[in-house]
Amino acid sequence: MTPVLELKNVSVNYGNITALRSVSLQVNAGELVSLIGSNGAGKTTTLKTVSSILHPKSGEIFLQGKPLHLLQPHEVAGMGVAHVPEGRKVFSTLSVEDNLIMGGYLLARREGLKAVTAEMKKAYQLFPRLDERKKQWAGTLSGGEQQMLAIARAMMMRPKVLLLDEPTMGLSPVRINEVFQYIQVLKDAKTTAILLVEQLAYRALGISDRAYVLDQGAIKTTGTGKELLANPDIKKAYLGSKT
Amino acid sequence: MADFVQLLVSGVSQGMIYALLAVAYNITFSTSRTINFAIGNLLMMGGVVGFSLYIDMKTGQPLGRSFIIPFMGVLVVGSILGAFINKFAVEPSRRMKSEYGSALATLAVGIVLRNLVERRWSTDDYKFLSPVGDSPIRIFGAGVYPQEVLIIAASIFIVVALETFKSKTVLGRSIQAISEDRVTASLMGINPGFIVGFSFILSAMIAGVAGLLVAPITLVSATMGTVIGIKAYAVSIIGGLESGYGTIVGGIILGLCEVFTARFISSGYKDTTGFVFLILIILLRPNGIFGRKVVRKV
Amino acid sequence: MRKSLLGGRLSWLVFLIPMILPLVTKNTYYVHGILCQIFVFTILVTALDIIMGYLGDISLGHAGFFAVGAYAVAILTTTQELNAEGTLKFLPQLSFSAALIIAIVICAGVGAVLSFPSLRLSGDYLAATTIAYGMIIHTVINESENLTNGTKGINVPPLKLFGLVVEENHFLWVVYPVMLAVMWMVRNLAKSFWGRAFEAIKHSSIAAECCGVSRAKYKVSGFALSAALAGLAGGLFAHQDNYIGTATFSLDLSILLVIALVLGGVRSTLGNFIGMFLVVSLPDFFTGLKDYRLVAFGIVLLLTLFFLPNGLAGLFRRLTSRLFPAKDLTEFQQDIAARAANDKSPLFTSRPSNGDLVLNIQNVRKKFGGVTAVDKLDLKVRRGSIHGLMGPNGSGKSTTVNLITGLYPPSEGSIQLFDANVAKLSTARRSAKGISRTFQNLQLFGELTVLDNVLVGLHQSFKATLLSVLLSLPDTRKEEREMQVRAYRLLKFVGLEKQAFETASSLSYGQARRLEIARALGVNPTLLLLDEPAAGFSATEILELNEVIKKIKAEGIAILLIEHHMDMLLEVSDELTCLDFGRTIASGSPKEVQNSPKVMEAYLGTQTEGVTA
Repeated sequence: MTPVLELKNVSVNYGNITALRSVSLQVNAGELVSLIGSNGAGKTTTLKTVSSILHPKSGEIFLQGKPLHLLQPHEVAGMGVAHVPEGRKVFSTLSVEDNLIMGGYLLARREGLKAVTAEMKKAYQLFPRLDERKKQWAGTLSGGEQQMLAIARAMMMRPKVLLLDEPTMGLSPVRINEVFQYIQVLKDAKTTAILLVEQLAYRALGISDRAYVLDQGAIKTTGTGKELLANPDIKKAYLGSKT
Repeated sequence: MADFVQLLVSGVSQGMIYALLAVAYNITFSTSRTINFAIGNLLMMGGVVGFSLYIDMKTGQPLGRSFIIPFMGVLVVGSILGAFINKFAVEPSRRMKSEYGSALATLAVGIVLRNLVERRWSTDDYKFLSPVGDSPIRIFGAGVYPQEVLIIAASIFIVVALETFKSKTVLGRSIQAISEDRVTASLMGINPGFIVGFSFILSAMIAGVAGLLVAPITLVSATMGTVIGIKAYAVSIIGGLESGYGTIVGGIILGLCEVFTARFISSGYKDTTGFVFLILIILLRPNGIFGRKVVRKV
Repeated sequence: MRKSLLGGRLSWLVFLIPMILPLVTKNTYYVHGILCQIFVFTILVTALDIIMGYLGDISLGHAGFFAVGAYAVAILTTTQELNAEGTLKFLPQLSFSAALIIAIVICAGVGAVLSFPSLRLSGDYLAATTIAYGMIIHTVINESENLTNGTKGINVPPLKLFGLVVEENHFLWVVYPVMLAVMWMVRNLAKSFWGRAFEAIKHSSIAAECCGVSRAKYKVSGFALSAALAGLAGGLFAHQDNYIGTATFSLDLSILLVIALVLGGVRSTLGNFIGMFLVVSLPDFFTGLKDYRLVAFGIVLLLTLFFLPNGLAGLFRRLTSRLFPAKDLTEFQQDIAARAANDKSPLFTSRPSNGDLVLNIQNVRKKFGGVTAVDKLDLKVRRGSIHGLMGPNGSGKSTTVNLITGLYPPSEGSIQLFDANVAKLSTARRSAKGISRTFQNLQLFGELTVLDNVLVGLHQSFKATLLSVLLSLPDTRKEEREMQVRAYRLLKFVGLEKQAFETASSLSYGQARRLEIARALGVNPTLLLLDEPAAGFSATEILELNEVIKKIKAEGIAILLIEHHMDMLLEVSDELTCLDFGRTIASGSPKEVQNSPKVMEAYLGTQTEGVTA
């Protein structure tokens, strides 16, 4: 079976810096795969490369066997990749509802506004808090609510794969629990494959089917979430080898 | 009293032209983060094209056509020029590192347009007979030109229509989304290149219509857009670069200040009001008086 | 070094050739009409280049300064008889030289005042304000009839110098030497620490401030100087036709100046001349162009902007560097290397200070809107020690660095360098007191050479006055040479001397990081802040960097090291602090911090908390 998302030997440069060195990974249908590693390991770069914000120097990226790496970001989105960027990036001067409509931009063009409204209903069922605040400017939501909105907005695209970049960054522990709950809900629904980038490695591994560990731009290890939880290398990657 | 009403109406109608041009500045600013310094000359093109399609240059009399023809002509020419400016001035400057690339490039297009009109059309000033008549109507004893009333009504209609478009349609909202965060908007499948191109076409059409509207009040000439274009930029900043209704208020403020300066100080210093406004507003309130401010919670 | 065919030392005689023209030809149209005009306008373009080429700002109102200069000279020298029909009221009738000096001073003042928009604005906003002030000046001149004769213009008496009347082609003997002098002075300025300060501000005003270059001072001075030169050009222009009228000083002139500058190429005096030469002479050679000159120049501007971003001068430089590739090391470069090898004076001089507590931060809080980025921060860094600072993304590390260097003012609390509270000082002032830093995302001055980057770090050590810089007096040249030697030694200190004469943008990533350290050391710091110096480094590169950091510590400089690489922090730090959500969650010896359960939780999350859906 072809994986939903597949990276083959992807390398990326920022000017003179090599950010990714020959990264290969796969996400299969219905899977939650996480990508963990310390700061600057290349996690965000990987997601940005998938959605074509960055372009690889070499290597290939496929969505259900179709190449992504030569497309523009809006074309990648059109193929069915939804990317929830680092820092949430909700449109703060648009209302919550308008944010969701923007997520439904492609759906509106393909199937009309009715489909968008139907999809929006589903989002409100999943996140009733957004329904309560649908007329508010998104910029006035709390951090946790903004994350909720960013995820709901991405789901409006009916994506084949959802890229989540550091969804817990800057959130308090209570909100972090909430975010992991949403992710669990999305995982259980099995409507989309998920590639999760997360700094809180243990939390991410706890809910992942599989995971990859990035270190200095290269994949160091991979395995199921459980296997990696037991692996001492994880702690070393974050807090130094000489513990 | 009559004098006052007359000043009021002419100030407000003048201000509405500024507001229209300011809106034209705002649309492209919000999508491309650049100022189109050719806007004044796009207004001039509107006046000249409209004039050529409506008035016989030799006799100065109307050709006897419906006003729809110059109107459509202005929209067509405006959209072509808007697309041209985006393609050959703004898009290439985006690829350059220079901070001033787009300012200089659009300025260059502006002077090319003006010089071409001077050479291929005329360097003289022409009277544009108003389609709604040139004899003043009496309001509170004041003589008010019908064209002034037309300007006010048409401008308000255009601004309201545009604001509705921006807040009620998917395409309009995507202009706002691109304006706020180009990269994130593209992650939703919105094609920034398309939206920017669309905004330049829309903006140039509005500037052209503003030229068509103002021509019967001023005169039609190749240089009619230069000063008005710069002053309107002040209004676009007073209005806060993304607020449509703010530009109406800003336009009225400037329009009134100008007519009162001309009436009570000196007509020679009339334009200076706008320039001083521009410098002060940019220095003191770069977000404008009506600019949106959002406190982001993290 | 290559000697030119003309025999090196005498090659400057070439510049005298145009001086012969008035003797050999009586053609006034080309010599007086065209050539003299080109010379006057070239001064104006050179003046504009200071703002656009060196400072990286824009002025679409330079015709305004030019007008002020021209009108000042005209008003101060003209007589009633020459303007019989006019309304001129103010007629002091000074000599040309006195009037010119006053004109230059007035313009410098106007330029200084009008530089303020550039302190707050950039890009299109600045462009628009400059158009506006150009137009305001134009309107004021048009309307002040008692002073300027309004649209009628002013007839100016013929130019008299040393009792001699200078007319027609002889005018070249005045304007040409002045133009050469202006070009020479601007070149001197560009090559000095002033020129580097301009470049530094253009590339990164934050990095410039951290090197002690005051952005405000150099921007105001740059605008004043540029306006003064524009005024000088204006003063000469008053005598080009012995008549001036308002029509000349329009927005179109300002735009043509920009076109000449962009076409010729910024930061090149020869380019300035070529650009102006083409703008004036092309419509004259191709009469068909005369009517369409704005169309032609508009298109030329677009093409140059997009296809020749460095103008004709840039093209010329590229061709010559391809035809005559640079040799390994020139005499000049070898000389610096040799002097550096012989110089045994201490590289860092200790600053007067009390005690060994270099940095003492107490109870500092920083809020952005409703968000507290740093809360109740206490931090002490001691002389000759390395204090590590770690924490997850967004924990407040960079904010801390920015608070210490003065990029943000703290909302509360005190920041002490030795005994002095520096919390209210500007970044440049703090740099002068010995606080220096590197940047997480590199902020090098890419177009400058590696050596020049370090020289920007040494900025505060330069003592020469502006006048001596303009005239390139021997003392100034000596000082420059001494500083070059010191900069070279600093490069040696971080192991980068082989790249000293390359441009900074050509460095590899690892070398660029080292250069930032060398530049920061140029400030002669007592406290060095290293903001993620090892980001993106491989394990070997980190080991090399550790050695450099230890060497700096050995010089007695206190270091605050912000890093994510734990191994590095454990290796070099004496003390370690971990932040999370703007608060200190652990502090002490590196080992203690590493094993603190709070740190582990912040970095990895807790294993025990399952997901309760």
